[in-house]
Amino acid sequence: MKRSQAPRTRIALGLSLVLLIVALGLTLSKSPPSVARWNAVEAAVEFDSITGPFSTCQANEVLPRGTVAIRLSLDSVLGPRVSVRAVSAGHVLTRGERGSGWTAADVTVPVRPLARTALDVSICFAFLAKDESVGLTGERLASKEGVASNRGLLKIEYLKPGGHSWWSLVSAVAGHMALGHAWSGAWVVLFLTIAMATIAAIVCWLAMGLGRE
Amino acid sequence: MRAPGATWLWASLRRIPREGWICALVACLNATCWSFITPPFQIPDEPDHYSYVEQLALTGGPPTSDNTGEYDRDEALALADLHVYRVRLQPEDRAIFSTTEAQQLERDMQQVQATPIRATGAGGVAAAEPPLYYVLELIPYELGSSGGVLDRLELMRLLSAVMAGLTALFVFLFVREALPGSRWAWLVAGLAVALTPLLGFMSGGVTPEAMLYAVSAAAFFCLARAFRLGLTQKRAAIIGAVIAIGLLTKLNFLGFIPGMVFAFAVLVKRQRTLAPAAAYRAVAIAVAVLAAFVAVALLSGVLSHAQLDLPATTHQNFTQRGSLLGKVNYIWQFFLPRLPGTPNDFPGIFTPRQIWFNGLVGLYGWLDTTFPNWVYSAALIPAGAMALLCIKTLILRRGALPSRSGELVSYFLMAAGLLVLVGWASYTGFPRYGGAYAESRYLLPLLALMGAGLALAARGAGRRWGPTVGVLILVLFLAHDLFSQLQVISRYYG
Repeated sequence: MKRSQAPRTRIALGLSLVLLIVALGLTLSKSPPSVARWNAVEAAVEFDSITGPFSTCQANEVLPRGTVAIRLSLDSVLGPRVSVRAVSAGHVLTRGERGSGWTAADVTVPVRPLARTALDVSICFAFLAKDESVGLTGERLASKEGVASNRGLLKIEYLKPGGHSWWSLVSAVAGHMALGHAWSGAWVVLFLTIAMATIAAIVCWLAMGLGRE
Repeated sequence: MRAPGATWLWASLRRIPREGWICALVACLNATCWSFITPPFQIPDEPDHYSYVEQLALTGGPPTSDNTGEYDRDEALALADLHVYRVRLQPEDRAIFSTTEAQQLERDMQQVQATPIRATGAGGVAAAEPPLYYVLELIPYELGSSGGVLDRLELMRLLSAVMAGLTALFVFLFVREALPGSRWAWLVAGLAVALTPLLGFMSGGVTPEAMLYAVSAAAFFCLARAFRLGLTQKRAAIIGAVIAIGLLTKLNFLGFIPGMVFAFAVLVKRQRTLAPAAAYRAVAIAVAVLAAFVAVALLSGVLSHAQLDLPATTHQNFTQRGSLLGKVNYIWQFFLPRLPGTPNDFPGIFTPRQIWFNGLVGLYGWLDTTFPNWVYSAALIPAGAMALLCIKTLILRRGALPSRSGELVSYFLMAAGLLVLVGWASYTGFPRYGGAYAESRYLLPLLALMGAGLALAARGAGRRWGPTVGVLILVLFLAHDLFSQLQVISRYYG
């Protein structure tokens, strides 16, 4: 009676592995996002640190067509919800929102892509940092008296889907992986491939045995 | 001829089922892969942990200051050449990217190898940690002494990977003791834990947490065995040793102490009805073993009195701020949904989901490497299904629960103690930081309970479908691991 479970587990294993391989294939056929444009502001200094409600607009930006996300140089450990609007001549061209709880030195907010590039755009963003502060990183603007001010230009990047799939980038990625490690070299990628294939084989072998017990 | 201790150890090791060793092998291999995937020093606090070992190697003692950013010349040069601070927290910046940069790194490492290193004494955030893990890491550090920083770091990472193997092995053994009914379910638990990507990521780096996970799983296993077979002097001594090793590994183990003391009380009470003298002797032996470990650490100089003072200092920081209710409210909300009428310490954040669940699903690097948002929502489906199956098993087997209430309460107290400790530590940084310790890696000492939960989930599908669900759980964890690795690869090398 116990032996009769084996076909069921094998079918489940086979189907789930097929699903896994298809998912891997689909993922690797997508393009990684690339930077379509940035506003030429270096993330040189944290020019302000905000606690409480905050909203501002940064003028003279260019929003490239096809932009799917805007990356703002905001720094937080447990970041608040951030909303972004791209405004031109009083009209909102596109908008987006990123939920709270992010951790990094920048936050990427997905937006609806535009059909054509928009010039002279104001990028407006807002958040409510209740307790924890959010750092604004970019270049500080000197005040008239020459003392450091907390006014500055935020580094902003505009992301669009890249032109190449992950498949076509495999050799480039493998090349990068071979650098900067102990015992650097192409063997790193080969080792990883063999090791993960071994793990997958062991898991499949043991999984097939589950139905036999 | 073998000594009696060695004979006993050898016999114990031979009794471990082959599947347990395979789980250990998979976890070790997986963590080894992670150690090559994650660029050097891109695991939280790894520069400080490496620095601690280097201080031990150079001075024979732990770091003397907790100054951050003050590294010995070789490490500082490696950090600079690897652009660690440019890459850290900035997902748009990649790891070392060109052969020119790699050659520069190699040249600098060769140059710095030729000059003697002067200890700075600084250990950064690691300075206050107990020494045991770092002392063990001296072995790979010395083995790699003919190479540079990167060679030593990789060898040290490999020791952490071995500890991941021990973690999976102890989880397998814990589930075997706690749920002896279905042999196949032990395997599901052990393998799923072995494939947990956060375990692989953390244990693929130089961090005492790799050892903490293994010791924590061992603690759960030892208690489960004592609950099933009774508390003997040998088992008491082993539990005492595990507590000592845990306390000397990372202070987070303190969170387990209330639960372990309770477990001991239950075990002694149960044993006392049979042989009172033996029960008390067992307790005395456990305490003596624990004290002996701490004494050796103190006398050898690897554990400083300053490190023993740390819990008191943190406690002082904790007590000096806010009201008692405010603290309780914060710790509650840190893990659980806010209660009506209480002030909101995490506005806009549903902590159980956004911090803990999302963190377990995927948050790598210096918390800067994430999946797209939809992945976290999709992950709720299998997680919810497994939780329902687990609850179903508990309801169906509720008749067996009262007789094991002491054991279950012990595990609950151990888990609660750990969570309170993490929340307590996080509160010391509040409100400057909403959640200074809001990282799912701090939950991994509870991997044994997660393994038991997965085994219960598989059993929840019944005799007919249980193994099939077990297979699906294993493939799910394998897929999770593979996609997590791809995510990290795309972030650093894409």
